[in-house]
This record gives sequence, structure tokens and C-alpha cells, in this order.
Amino acid sequence: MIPPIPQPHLAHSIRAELTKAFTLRGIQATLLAALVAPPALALAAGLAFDPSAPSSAAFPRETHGFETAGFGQPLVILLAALIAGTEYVDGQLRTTALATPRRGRVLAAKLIVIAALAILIGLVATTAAVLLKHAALGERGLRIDQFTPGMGWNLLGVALNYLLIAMIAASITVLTRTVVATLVVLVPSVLGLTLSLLGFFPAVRYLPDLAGIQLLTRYPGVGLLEPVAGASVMAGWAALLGGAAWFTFRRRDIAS
Amino acid sequence: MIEVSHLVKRHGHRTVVDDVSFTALPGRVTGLLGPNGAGKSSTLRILLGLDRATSGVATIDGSPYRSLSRPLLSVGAMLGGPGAHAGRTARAHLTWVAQSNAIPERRVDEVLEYTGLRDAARRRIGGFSLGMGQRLGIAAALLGDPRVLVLDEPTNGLDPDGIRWTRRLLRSLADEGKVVLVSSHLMTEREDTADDFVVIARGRVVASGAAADVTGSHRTLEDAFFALTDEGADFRSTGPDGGTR
Repeated sequence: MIPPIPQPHLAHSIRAELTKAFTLRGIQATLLAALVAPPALALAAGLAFDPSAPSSAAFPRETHGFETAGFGQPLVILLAALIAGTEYVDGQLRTTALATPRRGRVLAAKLIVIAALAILIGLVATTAAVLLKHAALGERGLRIDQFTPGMGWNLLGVALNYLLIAMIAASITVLTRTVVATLVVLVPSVLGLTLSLLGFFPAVRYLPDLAGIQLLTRYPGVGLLEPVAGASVMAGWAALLGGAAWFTFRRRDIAS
Repeated sequence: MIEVSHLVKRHGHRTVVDDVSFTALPGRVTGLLGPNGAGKSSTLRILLGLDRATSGVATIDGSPYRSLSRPLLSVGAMLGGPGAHAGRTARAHLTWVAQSNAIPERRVDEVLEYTGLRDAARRRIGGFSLGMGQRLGIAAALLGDPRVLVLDEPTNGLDPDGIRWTRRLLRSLADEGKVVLVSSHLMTEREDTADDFVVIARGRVVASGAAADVTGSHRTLEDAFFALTDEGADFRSTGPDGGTR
């Protein structure tokens, strides 16, 4: 029997991409912030929780902690944009292309690293945020044995949302060759710009950031897409932009 | 061996490389010479798979660069500086380059030592002088101990010490039997360094061969260079009297 042909070259490219990602301070700081900010916010919100406030009664107990996922999201976007966009600084892409002339392999390795980090942030930061929030709420929160399957699904939803928004951010960065365009387009959107337009233009619910927003936490009664339908639309955006980035990256001359 | 055959590169209607053919042989330093904008860099970029040729072929030991799965083991190259992110340390930069081609990481220390950058290994590249940056680019080119070296303007902007260091390095690499292809827009800089010459002007090869072949009936190689490229130069340099030559 012919042994399966090993494909060590993608593994080498992934290793190189990991080293690139972990040896720049800006990327290190962003990764740390994305892991720490949601749990820190959750802890602060839990300690400051006012049960007499009118909004708190309408706040389902099992959603506690997940509301901070929206704050991690811009950091995930920044992380993806930096990992993709630092190629276009100081002529690094030239060195990358000289080391690995198979452009598809480079992009695949980069997207795998970005995807893995986005999922890791989603799972670790959100789990920590939920645990800390409920611990800080004490009697008003849930004990771990009271956690529901819905919370498990919500956790996976956050990881999926982070994965998709990271792919979208990386793709826009590759297409525009700068982190600036990505940040200008995506960060105001996820910080509420598009959500505030929803009342005037219902079609904005199909935009990449709003389509999957209910994967993070629920926004009942404002006319957003349901989580599964929204995730599909968001995945469609990621596939479309990712395909465009793939096509462009493989064909373009490396600017000098 | 490097073989470039009938290479053409057009940007729209502008032809930047126009039917360029030459070879570079093992054990020899081949100087690719011409004024700025003559098409030297474009030729090297196509040779190294960064740009696509409109037509023609460029191969390294018979293979196009893009078909090499671990190219750094065959070819070391530096074009337009080290191509290294200023925020990384020299060691971190060389480490990821080595990893991408499954080159043992002890080679990182060896090339740092070889290029005199050992003490700067942990410093961020943003703080490097021009000469250190060029050394870093050469260090990366040597990581895979390749048989072929391609260096675009490696002495550009260097001080006399740096230029001398680079010349000696190129000579010793050729003496080891490597193919060394090096471009320059300065003729004087190459005259005592290169064995073979390819002179390019306005995208075309105007002369090639050993020094004697290129010099021909001119008094010196430098005279020949100016005579050959004068007709082809896109931009006239401004003379000391303020007028154009």
C-alpha cells in the first residue's frame, strides 16, 4: 500500500504564521486585551448590578456575562486585521512570498491561525466572563450546576461569530492591503452604528455584523435575523469576501 | 544556474522589460547593471516569482521559482531592503523565515553570527541602521545555505565599510561555487567585484559578457556603461553646471 503523502509544507507555513503573530507587540497586546476585557467588564457589571433597576427584571438570568461578547468583538476584528495587515508594512509580504511562493498556502496558513485565535478568544473570554458575572452576582446569578444547555449554545454562538467576523476582517484587509479600511468599516458597525440604523433601514439586518449579532446575545423585538438564519447570512459574507481575497491574493503582483 | 529567456513585462502599454535574456553561472558574480528604471528590479522580481511575466521564462536550476516548495534551500534573495517588519526583533524575523521552509533554527544563530548581527539579534529592526538592515536581508538570504543568490542593489546607501563588506561577501560566496546575481545602477561599484556583466537600458539588454567583452573599444568599463546606457536612459542626470547632459 502506498503511504499517504504527508503535507508538511502547510504545517511549516502555519508555524511561521504563528511566530509572526506572537512576535509583534501590537498583536500580543490585542490578543491579551481580547482575552481579558470581556471577563473584566463582566466582573465589574456583576459587582455593580442593581436589582432594583427597571431593566434588570427583564434581563434573563442565563444571558448574564454574554452581553460582554460585543466588547470582545472589535478586539477580534483588530487582531485579524493586524495579523493580515502587517504583511503590507515594511515590505514583509515580499519576504513572505519569497519564502513561500505558493500564495494559496500562505493565505490558508494565515486564515487558519486567525480562525484558531478567534475561536480560542470566544471560548476562553466568554467562559470566564460568564463564570465571573455569576460569581459576582451571588444569589441573583446562577450556580454552575444551574447552568443551562442554552448557555452552552450561546458560548458556541460567540465562538462562531468571532470566527466569522475574523474571517471577514482578514479578507477585507487582504483586499484593501491596509488595516485602516477594515477598522473604519467594521469597528463603528459592531459598536452600534448599524444597530442604530436598523429602525430606519430594516435591510441593514443583512449586513455582516448585524446578521450574526444574535449569536452573541439576544436583542429581542428589534427585527434582527434569528441566530441560525443570521449565522448563515454572516457565513455567506465570510465566504464571499474570503473568496474575493483568495482570488486577488493569488493573482496580484507583490507591490514593491 | 539562472536562465532568463526572452522575458517581457508590460504594464498596460508601457514595456518595462523588453525581451531580456541572460544566464548567470555558478562560481561567478554576475552584475546586472543599468540606470534607475532600466528594468533590473522588474527582471529580478519576475525571476523570483513576485511578479508574473507577460511572456518569456526565467528559471533557477531549470525550475521556475514558483514551483519550488522550499525555495530558500535553493535560492537566497534580497530586493529593496530586508522586507522585515520594524516591530519585530532580528531573531524573530529570521525565525519565522526559517520555519516557513523547515530550516533548523540553529541556522538563525549561524547567519546572525556570519553577518555580524549577533549582538543586535534581540533588538527591534525599526532601530537598525541602513547597513544593519542590508545585513539582515543578506542573513535571511543565507538561511537555507542556497546555491543561488539574487541581490538587488545590496550596497545602496551603504557607507564605504558596508560596501567593502558586501563585496567581499559576494566574492567569497562565488568562490564557494554559488551563483551570485547582483544588480546595481553604479558601474564603478561593480567593476572590481563582478566577473560577468549584463547591461540593461530601457528594458533591453544592450551588452553582456565578461568585462573585456562589455568594455569593447571603450577606454574603461565605466565609459562603456555610460556610452551603452546613455541612449537608453529615461532620465538625464543634472550636470554640475545645472544643465542636463
